[in-house]
Amino acid sequence: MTLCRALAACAMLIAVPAAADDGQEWLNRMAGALAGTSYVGEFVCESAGRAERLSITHRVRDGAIAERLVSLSGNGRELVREDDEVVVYLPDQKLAIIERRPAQSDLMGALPQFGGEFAPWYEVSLVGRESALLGPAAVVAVRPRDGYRFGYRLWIDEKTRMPVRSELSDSAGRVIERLRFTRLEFDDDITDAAFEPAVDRSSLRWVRQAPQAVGEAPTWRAARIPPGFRLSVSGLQAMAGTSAPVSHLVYSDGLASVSVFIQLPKPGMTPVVGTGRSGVASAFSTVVQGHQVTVVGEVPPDTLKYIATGLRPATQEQNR
Amino acid sequence: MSRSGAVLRALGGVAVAAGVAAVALLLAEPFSRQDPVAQVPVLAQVEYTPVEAVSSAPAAGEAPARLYTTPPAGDGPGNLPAAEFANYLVAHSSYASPLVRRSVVAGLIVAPDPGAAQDAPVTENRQDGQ
Repeated sequence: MTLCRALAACAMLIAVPAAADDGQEWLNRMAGALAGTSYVGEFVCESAGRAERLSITHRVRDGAIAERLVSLSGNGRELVREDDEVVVYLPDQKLAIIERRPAQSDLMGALPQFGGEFAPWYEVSLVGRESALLGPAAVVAVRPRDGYRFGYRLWIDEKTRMPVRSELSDSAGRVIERLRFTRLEFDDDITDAAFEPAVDRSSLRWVRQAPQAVGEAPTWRAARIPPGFRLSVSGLQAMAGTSAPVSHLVYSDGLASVSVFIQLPKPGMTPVVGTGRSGVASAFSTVVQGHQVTVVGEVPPDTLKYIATGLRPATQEQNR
Repeated sequence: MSRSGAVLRALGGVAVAAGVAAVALLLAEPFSRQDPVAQVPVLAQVEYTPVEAVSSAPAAGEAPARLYTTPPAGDGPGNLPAAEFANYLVAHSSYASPLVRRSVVAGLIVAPDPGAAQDAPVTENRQDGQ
């Protein structure tokens, strides 16, 4: 009996994971670095056989975040964020979109904590150490446990804790997007002039998307959602180009998120049905019970379709 | 020697080995907590994996298509005007998690693919006969 107890004790000691949280630790270190670092850099975005260079300027000053992202391909597109207002300049479409967003949500900001209820859907692990832009980098993998979401791999500079490269992959491990810094410099004295857009603003059509009333009772519900996803935001939003308010639902698993937009179709307009894509975000449009539905998210297209085709008015769901 | 004695002796050997391993793990633990990658050698530049088009992965249950050909980057769904698609993307980007938001907004300002046919077909190939 004593021998059995000794064996059991040894087995328990061996079963203690030696470094189970290393991947998570590196993500936390990275989040800390991103939250307080000012920098300028350039990165290459590769997706679907195309590569495009972008520049980024990021400043944290007294808790206020300013950021500017510019396409270097010559199309003049750029995005400027100052505090909670984001302006997207699309000169090729003669359009500028102004959107207010919640504060403290910078473009590369703090990471969610992969704990609690969301943890089962991803596996976070430190997979190695490699040479990268600034020197040795810890490589952290965030693997999805099913086909409803994408996975991530991050190269985090060991010294500065900054992500210098990231990859998005499907559940089979195929890389579908890669962001890779080619220049990264730290600068605590970035001037306001660095956030002035280079676009000729006089020739643009300006549209402003009004902040939505968050927290209203949703009028629609997804009758089926992939495991781990939950309704995190619901409300009405005035969208540019639409006269009636649009219902906006956001489902999230803590890492990936899916926006559902529901509206009555414009009179005389042919309903939109099909699939689209912009970078890592896919979109799926369909008609549900006479309403135009568009679902957008950084998840596989099938996940969008799965959610969209299960949408029902909330009253109908309650009566079931 | 009796059979039970031999078994006990073997078990005792296993116990000693397990104990040594456990002690070694306990000693190694503080170092790995200090720097989880310190003992891993720096490798040469990583192998360059090709970037593929967005694909859907097999999913269980009611998940639909298994093979999916996505439209070119920058295309809105069906006949959705590009400006309206951009509006949706901007609105969505506010709620994208910080880890992927950079990718979402980068996709917004990356130019549409000039070589992409405007009427590129969207096809679904169902392998499972659904």
